[in-house]
Amino acid sequence: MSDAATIELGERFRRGEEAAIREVHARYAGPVSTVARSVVRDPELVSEIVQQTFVKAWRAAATFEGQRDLAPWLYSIARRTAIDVVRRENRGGVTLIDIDDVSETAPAPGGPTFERTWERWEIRAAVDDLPPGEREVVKLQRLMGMTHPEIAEHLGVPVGTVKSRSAKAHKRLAAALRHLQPGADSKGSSISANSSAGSVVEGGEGR
Amino acid sequence: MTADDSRPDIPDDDLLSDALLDDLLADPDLWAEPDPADADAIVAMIAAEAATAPVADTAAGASEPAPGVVDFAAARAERTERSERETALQSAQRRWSLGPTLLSAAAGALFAVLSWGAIQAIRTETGTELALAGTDLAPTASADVNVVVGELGTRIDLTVTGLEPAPDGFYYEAWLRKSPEVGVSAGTFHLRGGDGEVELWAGVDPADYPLLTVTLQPEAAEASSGEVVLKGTVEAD
Repeated sequence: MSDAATIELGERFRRGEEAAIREVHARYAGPVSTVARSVVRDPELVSEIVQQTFVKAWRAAATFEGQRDLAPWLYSIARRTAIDVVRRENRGGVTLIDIDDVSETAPAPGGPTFERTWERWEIRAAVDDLPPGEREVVKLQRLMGMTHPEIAEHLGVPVGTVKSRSAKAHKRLAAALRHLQPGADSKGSSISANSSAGSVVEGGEGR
Repeated sequence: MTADDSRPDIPDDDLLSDALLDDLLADPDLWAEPDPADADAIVAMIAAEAATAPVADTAAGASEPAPGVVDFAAARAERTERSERETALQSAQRRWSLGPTLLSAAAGALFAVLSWGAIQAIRTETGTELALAGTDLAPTASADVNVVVGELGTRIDLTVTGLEPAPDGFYYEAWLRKSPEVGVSAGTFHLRGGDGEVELWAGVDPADYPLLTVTLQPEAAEASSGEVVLKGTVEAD
């Protein structure tokens, strides 16, 4: 999706267009779900976090600047929602993780850091942006540990096709994720713990 | 397996560190698909919330909504006037002045708003009461139900009588359905302690999912077994 299309989608979402709500969900539910799964295991809680993230985003949409990318904004809402759910569940006597260890500035042993969950978001978003055929090859290769010939047999396509899709997919991933390389300069889509996206969540949920 | 076959053709100087990428791409959580029912639930929650929000931003003479845009302000204004009329649904149908294009594009949210209004008309402070009847699979079973729609979700208090305890390896599951094909689980129970009260929760509004059923499920099932033992409809008198 082009920058202009992304901005237009954000504007339509801000206006409360149902089709835009569904489109934003379709585009970002994967990364939101990935963030949720980094802090909770229960599928029902994951679903709750996903749903609440988009509802909170809609509530706060009036404070969203239409010219900005939706991703960092939604990420901040998703992460804050996940933390709230974990704190609520922990109060109920069910310890999921020690959310107090989830520092936004320092790594926590065994727990997701702010930077780490953002990396997961970015990688999930990049994977979801791949053409379906390339995404499937990467999934079989990276998640299932299958070789090119095994993937070719599984999909019923020539090995050369698998290699071609794999190469294209990894080049796309490389381009999309270059800014996450250690030592790389931050770009527009990266996020910091003190970004304005976080303040939108804190102050923008009331209606 | 050869090295060429097992390693993707990645330019090492052009990607994340291999260790990080390998670790994250091999994590099943990264590939887990979100629940497809979430989108309907989100649209329904937003529509319902828009209908209950204050009317302060509804200005007289407001312009018609653009095609494909759900006019939440109109929905809020509608709800205010609706409370003064005999039938909420009929009132809403009269007041909505949406063109065919908007009606088509916003059908989902519109249905949510109007149906919510219809259910609201029969809600009391203690919720909506209904009775479930046993099906041929459990002819002696019945249940009294109280449905309360709150800020946390829909609470369903089920008082069951005459339903056999679920056999080992099986359980009962309650569903809110908008159609025989589309439903959302409201929770599970087994009744091995005998008849009694069960508190269930659902993340959808019965205005959108008015059919309440209870199915007998094998523990390995991922979807409804279709073995309905109780059913009823949350609807206006």
